[in-house]
Amino acid sequence: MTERLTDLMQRAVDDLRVPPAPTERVVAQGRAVRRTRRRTAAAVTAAVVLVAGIGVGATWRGTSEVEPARPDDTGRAEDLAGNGPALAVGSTVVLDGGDVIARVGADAVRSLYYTSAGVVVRHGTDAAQDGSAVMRFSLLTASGSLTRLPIELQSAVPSTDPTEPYLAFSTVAEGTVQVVVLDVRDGVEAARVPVPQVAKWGAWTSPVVSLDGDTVYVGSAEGSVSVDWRTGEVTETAEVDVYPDVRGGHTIATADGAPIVVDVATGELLAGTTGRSGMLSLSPDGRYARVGERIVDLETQAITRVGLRGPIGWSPSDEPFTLDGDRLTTCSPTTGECVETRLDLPAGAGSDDVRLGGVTYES
Amino acid sequence: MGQDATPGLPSFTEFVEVAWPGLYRTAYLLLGDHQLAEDLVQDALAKTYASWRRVREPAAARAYARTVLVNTAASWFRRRSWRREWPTDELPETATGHDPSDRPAVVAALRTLPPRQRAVVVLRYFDDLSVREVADTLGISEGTVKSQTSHALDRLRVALGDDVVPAPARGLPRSRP
Repeated sequence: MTERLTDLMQRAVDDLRVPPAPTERVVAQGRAVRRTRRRTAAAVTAAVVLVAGIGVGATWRGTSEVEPARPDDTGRAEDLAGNGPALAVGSTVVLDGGDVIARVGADAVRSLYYTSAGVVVRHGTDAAQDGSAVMRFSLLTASGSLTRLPIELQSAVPSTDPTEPYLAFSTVAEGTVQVVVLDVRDGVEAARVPVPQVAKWGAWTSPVVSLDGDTVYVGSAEGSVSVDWRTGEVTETAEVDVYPDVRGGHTIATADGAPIVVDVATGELLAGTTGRSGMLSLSPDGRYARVGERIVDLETQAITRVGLRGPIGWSPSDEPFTLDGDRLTTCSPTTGECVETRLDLPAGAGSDDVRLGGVTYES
Repeated sequence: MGQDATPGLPSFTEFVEVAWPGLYRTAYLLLGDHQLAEDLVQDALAKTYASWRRVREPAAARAYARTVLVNTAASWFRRRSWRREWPTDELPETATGHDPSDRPAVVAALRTLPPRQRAVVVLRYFDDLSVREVADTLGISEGTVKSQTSHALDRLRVALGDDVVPAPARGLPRSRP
């Protein structure tokens, strides 16, 4: 029945002029990818405990072959449909720019974390971020299903990568820091890696972590480290401070008192600011940095201005957005064009009750 | 290259030379643009290079590279700016007046499909993967593959005509298992 379609597609590419394979460029780029995934200098291998690993963990475990049919390590295919901003007002969570609305019971939402499986919602008895109460976590998917995750944390600062279905956090067991990676699709631990190299981490009950691909960056007052959670490899990481925030291999650092963006693997300066420029914010996949209403494309160095005021979040696809009352404004980071949407939100909510995706709300 | 240690496996550079044309054609059908197709395949093979030491047999390498390619395309599609620029929800009015046998017609028709439907069609009817293989590659259920295929064929039928994509016979499955 579809033979003609197959034939047409075949003929459409039969006489295509296929350019020669740029093998050298592929290899050079591949090496850069590998460096980003795993920094090997001065590595100390730690034991990795894969606990009932599934998904990618199971794909690589037991056999060292590349399996042909698991797309998870490069972003889940469900995301082909795309998704828009996530935000919360009180206990009401809005996904995809208003396409999905759910409530997390009587709890107040404290933070939203983008993952490839949906948005992880951190919630508790109030919206405070001072570590005074236990935080619960739920996964809200694009289909509207809300599932509690089997963890409760107090002041630990968790992290996600929007292209991966994992939540990473740290804990301290018998005096030793452990990095835990939770598969949010089923709440099962994918990995637990001891990190004895980290002993001082500031005021938090356990170190702050940042998940970026296969790497969990662990903040330390004595020199932060990166952990390849699939192998357990631990590496010193010069470019990351005690509060790591790494996205797409990029992180925010400070030079002469001014925030800058650097490449974690190479230390290359990608964007700088003057000390008066204000706070820098990285987009979820690290391609863009925002200072005020200026968006910098870190690949092209192009600067785009967006007409947004007030707290600004990021959609999982790197679009800055704001919520003003019930008015959601989402802008393109490349053209500055904005689209306004009216949302059906609970009445009487104050701005203190609002949480935007892509924004850190940590004490 | 330091990547070619597995006995019986072609070196990575040999793999690139062999796999490049097929991946490029798949990428072109997915994207409809030569330069973007080249960039996509280069990205996919670079990611494959980064995992090459774990490869043990050529078929797995090809399938892995194709999966990476599709998922890299997916990450491009996620950007709204991309969605504005490329795929369109507007169907051509009808197939009347088109010559469905020319390359622009089929490539243009594919570009009217939402990204996942386009990926399903290209993988099934160009790369000749089974429903199960497409589901595995895209990380979706077989049921979703079938429904996406059905929707995609409906749209392609409008764009290319019944001669190219005949309507399914009543009572018969629309797609092969």
